[in-house]
Amino acid sequence: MSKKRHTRPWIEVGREISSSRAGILTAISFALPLAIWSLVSYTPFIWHPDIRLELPASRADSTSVYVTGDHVGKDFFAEFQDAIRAENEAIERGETKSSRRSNTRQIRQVASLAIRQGWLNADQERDTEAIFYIWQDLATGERVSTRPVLSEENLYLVQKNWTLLSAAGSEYSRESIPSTPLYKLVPQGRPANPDYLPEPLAVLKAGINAFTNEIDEGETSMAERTLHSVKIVFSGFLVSCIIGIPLGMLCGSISFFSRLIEPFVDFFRYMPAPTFSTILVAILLANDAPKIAMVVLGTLFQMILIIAKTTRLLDNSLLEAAQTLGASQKQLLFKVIGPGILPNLYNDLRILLGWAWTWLVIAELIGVKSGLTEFIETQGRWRNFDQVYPIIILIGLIGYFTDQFLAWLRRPLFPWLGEPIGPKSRAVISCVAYVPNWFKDAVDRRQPNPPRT
Amino acid sequence: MKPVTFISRSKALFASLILYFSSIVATSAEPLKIGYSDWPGWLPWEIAIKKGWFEKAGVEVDFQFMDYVASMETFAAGALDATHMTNGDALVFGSTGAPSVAIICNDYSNGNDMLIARPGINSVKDLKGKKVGVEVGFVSHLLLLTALESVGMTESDVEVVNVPNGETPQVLASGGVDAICAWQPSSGAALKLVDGSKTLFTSADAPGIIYDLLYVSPESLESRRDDWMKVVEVWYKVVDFMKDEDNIDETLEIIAGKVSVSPDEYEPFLDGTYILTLEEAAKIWKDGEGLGSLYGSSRIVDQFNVKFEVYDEPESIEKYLDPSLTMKLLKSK
Amino acid sequence: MSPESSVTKLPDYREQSPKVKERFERFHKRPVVLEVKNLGRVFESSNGPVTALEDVNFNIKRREFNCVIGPSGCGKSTLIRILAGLDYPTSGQVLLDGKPVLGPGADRGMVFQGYTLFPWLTVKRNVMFGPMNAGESETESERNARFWIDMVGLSKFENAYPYQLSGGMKQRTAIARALANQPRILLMDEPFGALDAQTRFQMQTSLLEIWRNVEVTILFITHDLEEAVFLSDRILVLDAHPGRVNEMIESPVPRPRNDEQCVHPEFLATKQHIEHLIHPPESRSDTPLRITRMTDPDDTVF
Repeated sequence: MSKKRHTRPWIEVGREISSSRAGILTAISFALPLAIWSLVSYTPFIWHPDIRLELPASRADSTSVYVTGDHVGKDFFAEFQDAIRAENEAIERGETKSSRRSNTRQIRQVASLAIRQGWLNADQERDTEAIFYIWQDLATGERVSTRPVLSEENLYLVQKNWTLLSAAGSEYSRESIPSTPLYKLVPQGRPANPDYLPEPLAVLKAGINAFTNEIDEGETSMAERTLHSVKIVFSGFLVSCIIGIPLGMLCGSISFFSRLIEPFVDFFRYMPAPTFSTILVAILLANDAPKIAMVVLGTLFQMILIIAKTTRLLDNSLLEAAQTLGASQKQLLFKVIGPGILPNLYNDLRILLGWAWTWLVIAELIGVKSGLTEFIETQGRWRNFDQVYPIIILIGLIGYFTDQFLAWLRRPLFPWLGEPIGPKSRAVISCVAYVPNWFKDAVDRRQPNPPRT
Repeated sequence: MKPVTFISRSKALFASLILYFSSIVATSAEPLKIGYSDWPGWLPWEIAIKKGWFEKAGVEVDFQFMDYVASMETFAAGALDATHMTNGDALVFGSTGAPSVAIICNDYSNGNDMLIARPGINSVKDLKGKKVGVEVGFVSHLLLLTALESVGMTESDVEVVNVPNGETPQVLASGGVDAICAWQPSSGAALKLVDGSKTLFTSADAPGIIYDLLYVSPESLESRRDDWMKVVEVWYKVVDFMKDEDNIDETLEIIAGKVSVSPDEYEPFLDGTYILTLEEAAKIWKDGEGLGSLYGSSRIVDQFNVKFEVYDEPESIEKYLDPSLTMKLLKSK
Repeated sequence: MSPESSVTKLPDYREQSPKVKERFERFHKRPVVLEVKNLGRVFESSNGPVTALEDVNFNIKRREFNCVIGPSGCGKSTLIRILAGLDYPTSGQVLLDGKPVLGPGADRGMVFQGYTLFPWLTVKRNVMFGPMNAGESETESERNARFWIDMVGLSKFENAYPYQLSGGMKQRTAIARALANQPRILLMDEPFGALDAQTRFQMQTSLLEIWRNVEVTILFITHDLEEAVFLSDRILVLDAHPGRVNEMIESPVPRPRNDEQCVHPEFLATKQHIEHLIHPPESRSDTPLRITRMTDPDDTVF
């Protein structure tokens, strides 16, 4: 690499940038949004309009229960704190009734704190006995919470509650849960961004948890969901291909079929596929079939038109040459048009596969919701956006890498195009070097310098 | 390429593709396909599913979890043997030609159906001229009309916006409407999502107007009555389980998990949906006037629907209700 | 520039040396392979019908090397496409061995100016294309393909893809591919038009060599006068608008041909005659270009 090339300006009209610089820019194009995201998330004085609760909270006058991690507005948070203080005063005055169940709930107020401190395991959230002793330790000062630090006010309430709890003895028994009401801890929290903008680390964690968490029997694991989504997309795409490729090729090569099929297909594709969802359920019932059919409906008609167009682009002189060599109509189709359009067809299919992915989201919401979309839907409804982002990103990654893989595969698949193997493909090849060696051999085989005279 | 091998190879490929897709399309006719949605009175079926009580009872079931309206549409399309609806919505769907017969009355809504307004609107009367988001034509619409009627208003006093139940929290938060009508868990989500939002009216203010039931297609009930009897038995096993206070934590864990809500958040919803014991249900199944009877309630809703032109002709209530299975179970105890 | 002002007076192109005369006597006894009778082709266009060919008549004898030449618009491409069966006449007919031509077929091979090799096939597979489609076995057609590839001198490249070949090599492959079908007549549509001068001469020599040794009749379209004279037995000169036969010239240049013949009087005379036929002197315009002098007066180049 000569020094001269490096002194070229970075910004130059109409000139391709060097591959090393292109690599740097690619890295930056991903790093930049991530950096902005991190900046907004981790700089407390930028934005942060909400309070994220660090203790659970509920009010007597509302059915809503707020758990640790929930977001509330700053004003509402202050109002909430005052409401809880008022409730505690009412308890003080003996105006509040209680039940064993409601006191059990009050005991669990410190469960999330104890888990966060590592005093309890995550599965002990409802282990009343273990939580009982946490109150003791907090009240006696044996344990001091650091995440979050309990306010003076709350420490005082802890001690008052412990007095009530230990009235029947400091050993836990079901009967030791008093029937007189316990005090509610006053909500604590710290500034946070709205829930639709979770922090990068939270998203990363949620993403890892989504795939590593143990799943109850009968629940669908994230890996199963992913596989199911992939199955819907590829099944739908496969059906489209089985119908669409032959039809597209016929339309592109034989005027008779073009006039017979294309006008209707052209019309049909303007009817939005999602509007057929209830009809598909009625015809195919509520399993995977209507979902696959939705993907087919979304991709097939475009596929026919695109493949017909690609077929028409084939150099007509190749067909004439084949005819002068005595090729029959059938041989023209299978021996000339087929292999002739293959590389372009391959590219078309890559684009269409991308479309199939966009139909997935609609398809999976038909009938019994399923796959990754169902997860996104339910978590989105509950505004657990930190759970949603990893899955959105996952779908993006699957699509992106499938496409990149196929793009790279194009070169060994069609050696006769003589496309040079660029540094990027070479990098991809070395990344996937553990896959069968014959790929590499295939690449090597077509490496020798093209003979020229 | 030798043409012979190519053809035989593609034939084999084709055959395996057909096999693959027929495996996707084919649905065994055996299990009873039952639709259900996120209503707190129907989620307890999860307990029976998790605990394998259907296998024990010797009936094969395939519970399909869907959006409420989607479950009714799928049932109407004939893809389900049964689904869960409110008594009012069964009439609405029945008027469009999808017959169904109720065999289980799961619960009545005791506050979980809510009319929720943004901060600043403090009573139903304040809604005059305001936009209300509601799933038009279904149970929440009924609740809205009831709420309006309670203060002497009609639908024309507000602007009704059609919003699917699951979308209501977001729509209220977006400010696109001033109030929404929805049921749990969406109503709870709306309350949490919009700080300072208030409930103006709930089903607890009109008890008995919304009953939630399992509706079976008449053909399926006819041909597989014994299997449905077993389903009824399993339901009351679930009810007995839930009514034991010691089981609250387990119940919450199972049903809250199904809708991705934490058990602590879900606990208040249990009060808003009154699950009927076998004895309580038997009383409700008796024909009588007023909201204390399913028949009475359904007639009131029917008149209501006709009055507000949800459909034109009154429905015959009796064909929608079959108390015999519940009664048979009561007698056998 | 008029012929009278040429340095030496050229002989009449019809004067044939005894050897050539004797060759043509034998030539005329050969059977006719291709017969074109009253051929006409009218295209419909938005400005009304356009006559591309009108009443074209000629014969091609067995193992003749015939070049078709004419000014642009004389319909030579239309003619060869009709002969190949890729286009159809609106009047008259084409007979191959006495049978009318109704469409494309393996009995008339064609070599195009644009090579038209199948890019997805190697040189060998390209050459095997025709025979295999005709049902020849793989081993048989592979053996034959090797023979033809060897003949055009591409043995080393039989497994190369077209993109790896130079223009000349591509056209050699195309010739081998057409010959592998063993056609009754080989139609060549300006096959060397896109090649550089040196390669073209090599190709011409090779083609003559192939023609001499293989049982094949060639009809060759070109717009290059020297090429026409150098290659052919007879030259079919066409007029333009509409395309009509002007003259069928018997080339007085003796065979075998070599590059020295290009300055022989009979070569030059034939070339000059065709030149006159295609570009009649009276049709040329000698109006000089209107150019304003823009250099210094003493800055002259001649």
